[in-house]
Amino acid sequence: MGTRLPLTSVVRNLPEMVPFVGPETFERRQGRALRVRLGANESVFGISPVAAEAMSAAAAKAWMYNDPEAYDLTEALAQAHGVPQTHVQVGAGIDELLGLLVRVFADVGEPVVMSDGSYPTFAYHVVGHGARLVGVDYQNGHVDLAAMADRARTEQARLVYMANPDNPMGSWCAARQIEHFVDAVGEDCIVILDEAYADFAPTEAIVPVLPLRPNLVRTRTFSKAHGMAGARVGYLLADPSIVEILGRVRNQFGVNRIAQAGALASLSDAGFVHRVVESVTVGRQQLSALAERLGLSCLPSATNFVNIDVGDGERARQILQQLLERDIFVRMPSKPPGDRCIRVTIGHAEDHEILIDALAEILNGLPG
Amino acid sequence: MPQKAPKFLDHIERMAGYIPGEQPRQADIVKLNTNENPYPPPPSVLERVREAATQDLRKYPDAAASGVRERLSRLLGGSPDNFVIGNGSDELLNVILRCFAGPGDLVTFPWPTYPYYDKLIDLQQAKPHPVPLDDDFQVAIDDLVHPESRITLLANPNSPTGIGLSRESIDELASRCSGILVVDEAYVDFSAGGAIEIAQKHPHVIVTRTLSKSFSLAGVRVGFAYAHPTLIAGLWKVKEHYNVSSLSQVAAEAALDDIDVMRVNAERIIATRMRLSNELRTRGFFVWSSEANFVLARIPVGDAGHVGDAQPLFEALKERGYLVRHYGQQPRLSDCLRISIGSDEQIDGLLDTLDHVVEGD
Repeated sequence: MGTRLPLTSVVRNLPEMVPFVGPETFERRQGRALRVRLGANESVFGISPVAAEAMSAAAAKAWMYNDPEAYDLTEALAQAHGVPQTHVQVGAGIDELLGLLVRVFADVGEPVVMSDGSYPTFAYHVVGHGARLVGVDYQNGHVDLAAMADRARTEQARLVYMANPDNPMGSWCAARQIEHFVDAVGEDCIVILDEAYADFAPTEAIVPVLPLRPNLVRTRTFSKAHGMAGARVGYLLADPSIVEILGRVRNQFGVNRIAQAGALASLSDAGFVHRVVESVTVGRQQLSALAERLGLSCLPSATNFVNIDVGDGERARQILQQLLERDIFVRMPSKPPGDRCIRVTIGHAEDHEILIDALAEILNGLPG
Repeated sequence: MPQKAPKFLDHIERMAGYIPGEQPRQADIVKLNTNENPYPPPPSVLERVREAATQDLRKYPDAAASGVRERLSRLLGGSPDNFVIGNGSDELLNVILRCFAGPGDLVTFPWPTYPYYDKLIDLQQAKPHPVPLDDDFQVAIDDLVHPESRITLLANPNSPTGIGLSRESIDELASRCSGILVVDEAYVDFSAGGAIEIAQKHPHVIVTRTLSKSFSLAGVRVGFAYAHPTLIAGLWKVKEHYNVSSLSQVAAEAALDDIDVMRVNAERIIATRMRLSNELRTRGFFVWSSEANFVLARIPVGDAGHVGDAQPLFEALKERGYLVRHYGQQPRLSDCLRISIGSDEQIDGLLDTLDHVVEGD
């Protein structure tokens, strides 16, 4: 009945993409568990024990609806960032918030600008809502802010997206450049500044929260440094008018009760997050050193992952496939210039060693 | 520095937000306003969530929610490919609207019903076609059939009425309606109904359900849709990848593994529902015959025979610690209260309080 489904024109025209393939799907296909899971930039350092305890307690009240306003969590986030609550919106992960932003700012056919090959889920939302994706090339592995601003102006785009630090490149732009960029695109254009990896970035990369710019929306997550990817909690900081409008269109109960409690507790455990960030920094150096021993260089990273340069896209694809055959899950950037790399999440030392050993073996079997 | 307000899409700027039922922050109030289940889920839910809320929570959830889909197919029939899991059935309704109703497309639904439908239609710039329930609050099938309708939304049992439509009528509607028929079965486990067999017969029928009500998991957010695999694959194209948290997935798996707990709880609620309905009728209320975990009750007509307003009674109950649902001055509902079925103790307390209020205590 495929062709007879009365789909809207937007959905009918979506590319024939396979549904998103997660690591569990790989495991089911292989019929066994992964040995090393370093593909999704999850934190191997787990969650705060304070958060675990809070979630355990919240589970006893699972029969009750969650607070649709996520009041306590929103208040705590507002305090943490020194802004009023009206500037904060919590969502079921950054992904949900990105979808909502596309929905309120980009009409069918309208241009939305992002770096070509940057965060695929944002691109998925743009296409899924029928807007038009306008890609701008990276420059030397960095988001090309000048070219992005030019493109946003010539296209008269109302929405641009950048991740800082960038995923998948791992690079970062300085706060001052970003502020300049936000001004340069013009007040009619909203800049989404995705700061999923901000916890791992140097302070020079972080735009001060105040003063808030009405056309700047910043997204943050509990999935990375807080180690709570499975709970689905993200939030954004934005002008109150944007928060208000998202309140009209969002899934009111989208952040479940247990997740709200866990995020709130994790936020109070600053020492935990600090230790995770330190461990990631050490892990980045360790992994880079191991890669260098194989004669491979790594791109500089301000995130919890490292891109190991294996020469070209074809080699990267082959390596990825062969790693998977050895039950090692990593990913690779989808487009140039990043696609000459495999992207490896920072793991424990032993994860790195298993990966590097496998990599050495695979490289031996590949032609020059 | 620019200080101009951001420009939203026109239809977003115009639309009103959905106002969910009140979630009071004080702990001592008896909540009979959002149809939560007064009885806990099986203890295994708590255990599984506690296990999941540990180091493993660092992993993204299974994007396919395979464990939940496999269990559903075993319990309800079909294969896992007949199911998609959502962050509450609200998310799935949103996905369905995005898939099948574009700007200007007609979406038909009985009215009054779940008010969230209206919001989702606005969001898609589709055209709402509300069909009034008849004088007895029954769904009139003939009126619901519209040749240009892209989606027909049928909450069954309906909210806020609690009234169910027979399987034969739904089957007839499925045969006659154009476009997609969505049967929203949030309350089905408190009724004798269920349209999955109808969806097995008709490839344009989607059944949505939730674990919020009968499974006592409102705070966990798990809903699902059953339909032909081709249709499910279409929904899959636009849903969030990681829409259902790992915590929610394990809670749902545990609740489905122990489904007898749900069945026992539902039986208790049905018994209490009958008792509450009768008690209210004795007190002069008109109570519609409900197949859900709530009842809709019209307050007794005053001595002068004037049309009543249930607002004062709603306020008086709330003041005394009982929160029920009132729909303000919404036509046909201003003299009604919707009361969720709590535990027997809660319902006894409500009835006592009601008697005190009426006696002017």
